[in-house]
Amino acid sequence: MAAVGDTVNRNPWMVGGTVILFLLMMIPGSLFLRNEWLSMQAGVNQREPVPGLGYCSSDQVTPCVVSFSLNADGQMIVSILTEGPRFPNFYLRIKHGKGENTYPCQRVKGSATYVYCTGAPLPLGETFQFFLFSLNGEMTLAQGNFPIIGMALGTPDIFSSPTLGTPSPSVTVSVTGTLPSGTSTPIQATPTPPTPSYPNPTAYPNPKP
Amino acid sequence: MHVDVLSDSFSVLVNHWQLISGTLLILVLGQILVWSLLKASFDERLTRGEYYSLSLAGWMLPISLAAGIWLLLGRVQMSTAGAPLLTILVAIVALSFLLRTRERMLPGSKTIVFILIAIFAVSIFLRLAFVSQAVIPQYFDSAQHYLIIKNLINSAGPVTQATTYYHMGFHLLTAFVTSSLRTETINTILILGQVILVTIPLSVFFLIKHETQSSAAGIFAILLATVGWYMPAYAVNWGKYPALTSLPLITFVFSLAYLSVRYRNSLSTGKYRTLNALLVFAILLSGLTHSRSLIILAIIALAWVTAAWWQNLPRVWHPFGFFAVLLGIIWLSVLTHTENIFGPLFDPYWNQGWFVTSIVLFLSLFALWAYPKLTFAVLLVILLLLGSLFMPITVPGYGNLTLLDRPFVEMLLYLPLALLGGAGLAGLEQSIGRVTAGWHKASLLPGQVIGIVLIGLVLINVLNRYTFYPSDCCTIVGRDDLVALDWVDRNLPPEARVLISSTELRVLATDSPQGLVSGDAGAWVHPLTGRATLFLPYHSDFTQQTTLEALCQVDAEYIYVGETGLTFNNEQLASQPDWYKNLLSTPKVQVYQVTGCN
Repeated sequence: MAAVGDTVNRNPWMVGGTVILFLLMMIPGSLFLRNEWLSMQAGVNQREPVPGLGYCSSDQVTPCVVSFSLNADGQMIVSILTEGPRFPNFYLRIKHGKGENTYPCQRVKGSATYVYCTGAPLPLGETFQFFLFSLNGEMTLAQGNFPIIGMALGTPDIFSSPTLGTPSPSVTVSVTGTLPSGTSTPIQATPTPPTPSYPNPTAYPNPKP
Repeated sequence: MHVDVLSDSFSVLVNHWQLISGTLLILVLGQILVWSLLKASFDERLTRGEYYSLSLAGWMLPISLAAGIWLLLGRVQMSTAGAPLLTILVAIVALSFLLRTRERMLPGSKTIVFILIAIFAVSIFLRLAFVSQAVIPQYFDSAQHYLIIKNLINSAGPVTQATTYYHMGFHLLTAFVTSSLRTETINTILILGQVILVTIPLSVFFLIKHETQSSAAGIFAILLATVGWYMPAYAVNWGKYPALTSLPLITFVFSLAYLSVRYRNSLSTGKYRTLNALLVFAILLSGLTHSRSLIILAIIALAWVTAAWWQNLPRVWHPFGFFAVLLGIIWLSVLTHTENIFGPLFDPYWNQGWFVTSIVLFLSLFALWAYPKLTFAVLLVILLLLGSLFMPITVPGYGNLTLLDRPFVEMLLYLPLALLGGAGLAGLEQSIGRVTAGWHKASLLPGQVIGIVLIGLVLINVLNRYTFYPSDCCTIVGRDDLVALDWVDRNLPPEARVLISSTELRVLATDSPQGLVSGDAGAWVHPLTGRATLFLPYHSDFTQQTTLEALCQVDAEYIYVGETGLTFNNEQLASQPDWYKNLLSTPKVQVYQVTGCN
C-alpha cells in the first residue's frame, strides 16, 4: 500500500522529482544569468556602446519605436517602448538635413513601459537620426537611423467585420459604466431589430487549438 | 519557448520585485493567522501539509477583514495612511500568534511542506511570465475591475455607481494591497491575479490528503488543478478576477465544512464554535467575492448530503444511483453540445484536454472502488453544475438569468475532475498494494511507479501544450491604444462624451443577450481618463445618416477606434470628413470628433 498517512520517508521519489524539477529550472535560469553577466563584463574598461534604436519587433529589444502619429494640431507623436520604470526619463532629438528637432517625452499614466514624445512633424520616407537623451546629464540612451514609415492613416485590424458594406437599419447607443449586469441604461435612438443581423462573436472565447 | 518563460518571468521579477515580495508577505501574514486559528482548534489532528494547504486557501480571510476595516476608517476620514498601518498591525498579530503556537510539534513530514512550498514558488515564478506580455489586464471585465478598485482607493471622494457593484471581495483586497504597498493599481491587478491563480490548485491538497491519507494523491490533484487543463488559469484572460478569487475560498469553505462534520464530536465546544465562526465568515467572504460561489457551495452541500444518503441505501441500490447520475451527466453533456452558446464549455476538458481527462476517467474507476461516497458526490457536483446552466431564475433588476453561466462552469469543472483524479490515484495505489502486498523488498512499490508515470504523463502534456502567456483571444488593448488613451486624458475636455464600440454579451441559455460590453480598448476610456462613454455596436455603419443622427441625439462628441478586438470601421469614418474630424491618427488607433451635428 502506497503513501498511507505521512509516509514521505517512504516516498523518496517525490523528493527526487522535486530536486530534478529544480535542477531543470536552474539550468536555463543559470544560462540566462550567465549571459547577463557576460554582457555586463563586456563593458568593463571600455566605453559602453550606445544601444541601437529602431522599430519594435517581436524580439522585444527595448527601447524601440512603436509608431508615429499625428494629432489634430498637426503635432507628431512618437510612441516608444522602454524596459520599464527603471529606464530613465528622457527626451527625443531627431536630426535631419535642415537641423534638428527636440521632442519632450512623457510616460503613459499607469504603464511606465510606454512613453510618447510630441513635437514638429517630419516627412515620411526620409531617413533621420534619432537620439534618446536622458534628462539628467545628457547621456545618450539610444541612437538609430531609420525612416518614418506608417504615419499615414493606417487601416486598423478588424477582428471580425462580417457586415462591411451592409447598411445598418437602426442604431442603439447605450451609456456605459457597469459590468454586464443589466444595470446600464440603454438610450434607443431608433427601434432595435428583433434579431441581430450579424453573427454575434462568442463572449469569453477559448484559446485557439 | 520554455527558456523564454524563464527569462520573461525573471524580468518581471526584477521589474516588480517590491510588489511581488510585498504581495507575498501579505499572503503569508494572512496564512499565518488562519494557520494559527486552525491549529488552535485541531492541534495534532491535521498534518503539517494539511495545515499549509488549508491556510493557503484561507489567507484572504484576515486580510479581507483588515481591508474592510481600512475601507471603513477611510470612509469616516479617520486615517489617510490606514492601509500600511493596518498591514503592520496584521504583521504584529500574526507574529504573536506564530510565537505562541510554533512550540507545539505537528505530525506529518516536513518534506511534504517543503514540496508544497516548492510547488508554490515554482508556480509563482512561471506565472509571472504572463505579466511580461500583458500590456494591461485582459478583456473588458478588467477595465471595470480597475475602475472599482480606483474608486475604492479614492473612497474619500464621491462614491460612484461602480462602487455599488456587489462582487467586492477581489476589489477590496486589491485596493488594500495597492494602498499598503503604494503601487500602481494595474500592476497590482496583474501580480495579485497571478498569486491568486497559484493558491487555487494548492487548496485542493487538503481534502484529498485528509480523506485518502495519501500525500501523493494530494500532490497529483494539485498538479491536475495547476496544469492539467488550461482552466482555471486561462480565466485570467477573461479578466474573471472575482470568480478566480472565489475558487480557493470555495475549497476553503467545503474543507472547513468537512472538518466541522467530521470532528463535531471530538472538538471541545469552544473550538467547535471557533471553527464554525471561521466557516461562516468564509462563506460570507466567498459570497462577497463572487455571489455565484454561494450557488456552488449549495451544490456541493447538496451533493455531499445526497451522497451520504446514497451510501446508506442497501448496496443493491448503489449501482442504480450511480448510473442515474452518470446518465444525467451524459444527457446534459449532449444537451450543452447542441446549444450553440455552450459550445466552448468542454473545450478545456475534451477538445484541448482529452489526454488528461482520459487519465482522470481511468482513475475514477479506482476512486469509485476505494472512495465511493466521495466519487458519487463529485459526480453529482458535475451533474448539478451542468444542470444549473439550464435552471432559470429571475433576479429583480437583472431579468431572467440561469443559476450559473457558461464561463463560470467552464472554469470550475477542473475542481471535481482534480478531486476525482487525486482520489483515483489513491484508489489505484490501494488496489495495486493489495495485489503486491508481498513485494516488500522492492525499493519502489508498483503503486508509486504508476504514480510517477501519471505525473510524468501530465507534465509531458504540459511541456507540449501549456502556455503561461496571455491569449490573443482576449487582448483588447494594443500599444497604440495606451498612447491614444493617454492622449485622450490630456487633450479632451473632462466633460467629453466618447463613443466606444460594443458587442452583445451572451453566456446564458436564454434568447436575449445579457447586456452590452466593450469591443475594444474603448473599455478603458472611462476607467483611465474619467471621460463618459457611450456604447454603439461595433458593426454600426458610419456612412449612414441615421447613425450620425443617433450620435447627435445622445451628444456623442468623440469616437474612439481601437487597435484590436471588435472595433469600429475606420474606413467608414474616414470616408465622411464632413461628419467626423480626425483628431488623433496613429497607425492602428484613431480618435474622431463628431462635427456633423450642427
